[in-house]
Amino acid sequence: MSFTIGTREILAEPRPLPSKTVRYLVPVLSLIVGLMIGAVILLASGHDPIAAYKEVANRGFLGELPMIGTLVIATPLILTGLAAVVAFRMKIWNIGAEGQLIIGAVAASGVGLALGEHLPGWIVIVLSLLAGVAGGAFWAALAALPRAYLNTDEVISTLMLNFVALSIMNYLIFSSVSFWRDAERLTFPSGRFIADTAFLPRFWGRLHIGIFIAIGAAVLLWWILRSTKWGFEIEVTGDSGRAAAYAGIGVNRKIVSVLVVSGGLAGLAGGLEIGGVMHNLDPRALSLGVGFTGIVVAAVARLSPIGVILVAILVAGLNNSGVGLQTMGIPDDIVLLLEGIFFLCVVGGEWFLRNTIRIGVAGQPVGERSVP
Amino acid sequence: MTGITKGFFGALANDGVDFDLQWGEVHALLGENGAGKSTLCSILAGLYHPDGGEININGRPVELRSPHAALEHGVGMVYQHFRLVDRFTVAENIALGHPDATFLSRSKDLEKQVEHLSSKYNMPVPADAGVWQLSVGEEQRVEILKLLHRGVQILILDEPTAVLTPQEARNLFRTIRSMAEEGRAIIFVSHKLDEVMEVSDRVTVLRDGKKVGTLPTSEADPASLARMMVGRDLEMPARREGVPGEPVLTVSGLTADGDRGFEAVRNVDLEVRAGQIMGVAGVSGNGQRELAEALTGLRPVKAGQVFLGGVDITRSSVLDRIKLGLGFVPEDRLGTGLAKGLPLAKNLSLKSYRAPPLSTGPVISKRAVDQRADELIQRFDIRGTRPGLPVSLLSGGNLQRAILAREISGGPKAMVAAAPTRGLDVAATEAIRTLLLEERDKGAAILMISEDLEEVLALSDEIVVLYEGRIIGRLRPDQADPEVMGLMMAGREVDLS
Amino acid sequence: MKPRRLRWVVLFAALMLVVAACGDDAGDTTTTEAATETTEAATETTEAATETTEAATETTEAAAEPLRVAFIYDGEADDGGWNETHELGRQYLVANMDNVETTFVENVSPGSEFQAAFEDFASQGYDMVVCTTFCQDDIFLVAPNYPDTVFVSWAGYETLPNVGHYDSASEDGRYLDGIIAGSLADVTLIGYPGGFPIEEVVRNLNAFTIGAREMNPDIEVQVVWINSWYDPPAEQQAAQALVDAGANALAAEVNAPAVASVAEDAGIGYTHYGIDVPEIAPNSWLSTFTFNWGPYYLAQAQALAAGTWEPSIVYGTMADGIVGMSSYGPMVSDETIALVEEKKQQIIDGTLDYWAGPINDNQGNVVIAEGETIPYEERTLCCQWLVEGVIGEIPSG
Repeated sequence: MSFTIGTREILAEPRPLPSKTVRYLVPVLSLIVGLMIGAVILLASGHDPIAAYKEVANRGFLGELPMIGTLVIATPLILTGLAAVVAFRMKIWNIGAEGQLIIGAVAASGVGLALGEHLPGWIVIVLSLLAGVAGGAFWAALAALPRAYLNTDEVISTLMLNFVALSIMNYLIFSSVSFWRDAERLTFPSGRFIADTAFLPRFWGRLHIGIFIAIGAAVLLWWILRSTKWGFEIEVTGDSGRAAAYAGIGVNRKIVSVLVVSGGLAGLAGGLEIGGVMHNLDPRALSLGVGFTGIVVAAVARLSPIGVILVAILVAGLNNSGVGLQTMGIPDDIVLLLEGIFFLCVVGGEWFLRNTIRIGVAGQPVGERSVP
Repeated sequence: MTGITKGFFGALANDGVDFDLQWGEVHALLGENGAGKSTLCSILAGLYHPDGGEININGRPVELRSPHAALEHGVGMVYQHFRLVDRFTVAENIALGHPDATFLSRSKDLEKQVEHLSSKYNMPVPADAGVWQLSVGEEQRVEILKLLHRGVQILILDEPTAVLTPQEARNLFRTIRSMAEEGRAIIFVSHKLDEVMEVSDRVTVLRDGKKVGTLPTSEADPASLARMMVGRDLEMPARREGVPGEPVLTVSGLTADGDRGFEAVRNVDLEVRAGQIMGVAGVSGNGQRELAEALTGLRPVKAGQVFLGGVDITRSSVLDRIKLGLGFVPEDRLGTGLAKGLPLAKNLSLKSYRAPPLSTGPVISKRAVDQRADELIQRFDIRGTRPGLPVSLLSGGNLQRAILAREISGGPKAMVAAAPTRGLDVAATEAIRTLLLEERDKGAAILMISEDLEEVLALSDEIVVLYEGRIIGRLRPDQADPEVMGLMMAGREVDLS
Repeated sequence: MKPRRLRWVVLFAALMLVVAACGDDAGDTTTTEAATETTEAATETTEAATETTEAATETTEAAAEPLRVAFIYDGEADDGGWNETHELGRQYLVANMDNVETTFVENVSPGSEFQAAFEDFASQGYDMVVCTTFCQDDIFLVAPNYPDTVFVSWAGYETLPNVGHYDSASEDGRYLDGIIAGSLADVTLIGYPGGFPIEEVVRNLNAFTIGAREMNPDIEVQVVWINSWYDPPAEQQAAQALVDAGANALAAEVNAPAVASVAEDAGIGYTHYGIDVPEIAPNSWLSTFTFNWGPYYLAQAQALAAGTWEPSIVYGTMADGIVGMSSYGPMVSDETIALVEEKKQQIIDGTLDYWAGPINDNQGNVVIAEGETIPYEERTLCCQWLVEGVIGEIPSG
């Protein structure tokens, strides 16, 4: 790739292996660039950037209440982020975490409702979380099997299954008197509550133990990807499907297993939302795009499971500080504009990470000067 | 074109090639794989810039800096891989890139023009059909029509028959002749002697990037062309004969489909014995890749049987074949033989990570992987990288050493090696050959598939020649002379007695 | 779906990294404050039962301070629909009460985001938090910890000492809308795209149909469920399908203006939903009932300021001024307007009861017997049936 400005020819070449310094410096630099552009926009629209950034810190992170709120929001984000990580590592583009989360929540609340009154609480908790995992895994399998054996495009199938899942959930609560719906509540339809013995235990304000499950899942996934045959096979297949087939790795089965695990993680997020936050099936609280945000989280974390924890907490904290920013009078639209710039910076940073830039005189061989 | 020189990464793909083309002729460009045919054409088509030499059209020097510039000078090329937009119709594809085409062009007018062209040159294509609906042969016609529509006078066809059925090829030849009769000049690139004899007026033979000669087709015969093409002195390097033992890899009636759905491997019988290297010679595209893939489990077998050490592995998975001791050195080193983004250490354990000592249960021991990598790097003298860096940073010779190190360290009973020394320098070639011979002497049955005759002759204890998926001849190295090999590779049966 | 809201926050992840350092000082103070507040809150919760009366006294003492009220919307404040009716209510409150300070946040979603927002406002000492969609479940998780903050939410049905709810008898206005649509000459079939087949929507649909058939007993109303609260393409499609099927008037119980433009294009009458915006269909506009939340918010805020606030579930009516009627469009005749104004007054006076039996459902069963009706207290229980004259069904499962 090259283009010419005046007599200067600017050439970009793939950088074979970014050095450690570059790998850590580039994201930091792109963040700072994003911050500065953000500050300019805030200033231009008549807002004090320092005050805004302070508000983000104070309302999203610093202090007990902000941290509790942030961690509660972060819990499902970590899991949908992990769902994206495990699939994207193998270049399987699961963008159906949203639907998998929903089906996981439907399954988890179904089990919670069916068993809640009859079994000890902790058994119900375990079974309903497992049901969440199974629900998400099943929903992913609906896209995985055709992908593996008929080579259908998983981007389209997982995306479409999101809408199917949403319709199913809406049907269960809004359009029918289903097992999930509380027929007594007539002012506005909502789901029946699971037995309170089946609520996930809370240990700090509203913060439920789901955060530990999510972090545990991240650490476990990190270890699995790094140290097991399964993880190794994902690495090989993600790098080159042909090399994987050559090495005797059953690529089709790998695709299915990876999508099922990915869906299971998203389904677990749905299960935790039911057991820890809502305690009933509420379509309005489960269709917030947590599945899609997980993709962003995974991308910003560069597909590192441990990075996902950090990025998810940051994203959740920002979300949590949104109330504070709005009360400061910063409108949503400005914030959307800032978001666009931020993504550009991140993507741009990635590009600089993979390419070196060389500037030469047009029409002449390019020298060795390199601008990192 | 005079004195065309072009180097890639230190190797000269064209070395001072002179080439002249006359209006109204079909000029065949003949040569083995890697002889420099495609490079020469790409330079003429503006895709590459020559490092030396000049190009004259109608006596005037021209500089063809891009395919676009080449088109301005009336030079157009049909590549082996078509460059059509799938979602567009035939007519839209043909209009695409045409200087007069605007978005306002009436599609009906366009379709009429296309139909006119296609009937004139006897190249039937449905002008309003989408490209995604077309067969490969039809796509090729669209490529040619596209160039004709742009008024191309010098047309380059790069191995145009490789993707065609014999029927389609015959039609193409008729089209080529009628274009030449109109005064256009056509360069026809091929390595198939029969086609060259059939369609061309003159032939230029390239070998190792150099021009061997140009002669009128009427003065040429297949045997002389074959000799020019293969050319080099086929003297036997001094080496010890193998001591063949029991049959290890036995193949009977093997038939497999290629990617396009034709049968690419047809009714192949082979018997490779322990301690023997069997060389499979042939011009590329005659079923070599498919044969290797069918034997190693990467391609389904349509008919026939494959036995490894007496076990029927015809339907076995790749993994089962690996476990039974079938090694494979693939033609495509980075991408198939090695996962290019992964570090060397991991690549070296690609086939052994499943069992102790590299793993216990589901867990892989990173230490054991690294330790094994260190051993192999030492033992096979793999240079230029640390085990933690991606293999894509290795040189070709070291890539091949890495693959062989991994395959050989698995202690294979049989090994399929495809183009094992292609593109390697002399030292690396020597090292790889030594490794293969050592492995043979240890008792492995090696099937070596190569388009490089020298390699086949240097290593094989027995040679078969593959042509259009069939074994067309079997011979001992001492029976091989350039003429015989050339004829066989060009599809002629030869009576060796 | 609203991925928008969660998306934007990613930007600020970047900002955080840098701000973390300079925010440290401020952070420490906040932490201590928050900690103290929480301990206080905890002690107070245990004593909450006894303190309820005291709390009222405390509020009176604090009357010199402005009353602080926060509004939480689950969409855009200026969405031209549901949230805007509440935003207008907030503006009404500000205009009609001295010494009140309000704020609002948009695009907050139910679940953990609601809960975090409630905690956020309550911990900052807001006196009242208004949640304008169904928020009862989330409120119940937070409100007991903040007895000094009053929470009111739409459509809740259980109260706590500091939690009240409100809803409105929009069906009364819907009945008048039906009269207007039914009074148009030649109207035989009215298309009615509705969100979900929930009680409130069905109640309005039934009232509308009763009104329309009072004017012309041959009129039928055909409902199509969109299965979304906001899905412009689906709404547009449904409306067009209804017109193609012969509907010669349209009424919408969804939030996007898509149905209005279909009606405008077809040149047929259009009944909107809840907010007076005739400009979306200048020629087709007939009317709509309006949600006037302002008087409710004002009453609640004044009671809180006066120390007389009690948890309540208000079912706002036309008499309360909480349900009103919009402007009337050019197709509506003066006679009809006069008739509607008369009937409106009768409803306010309590002299007109369009729910009086006998009323049949569209299966021919008597659902309200002769001599019976549905009083306001039981309105939210209605309806799990479609009144005679409605084409369509409530899906069951």
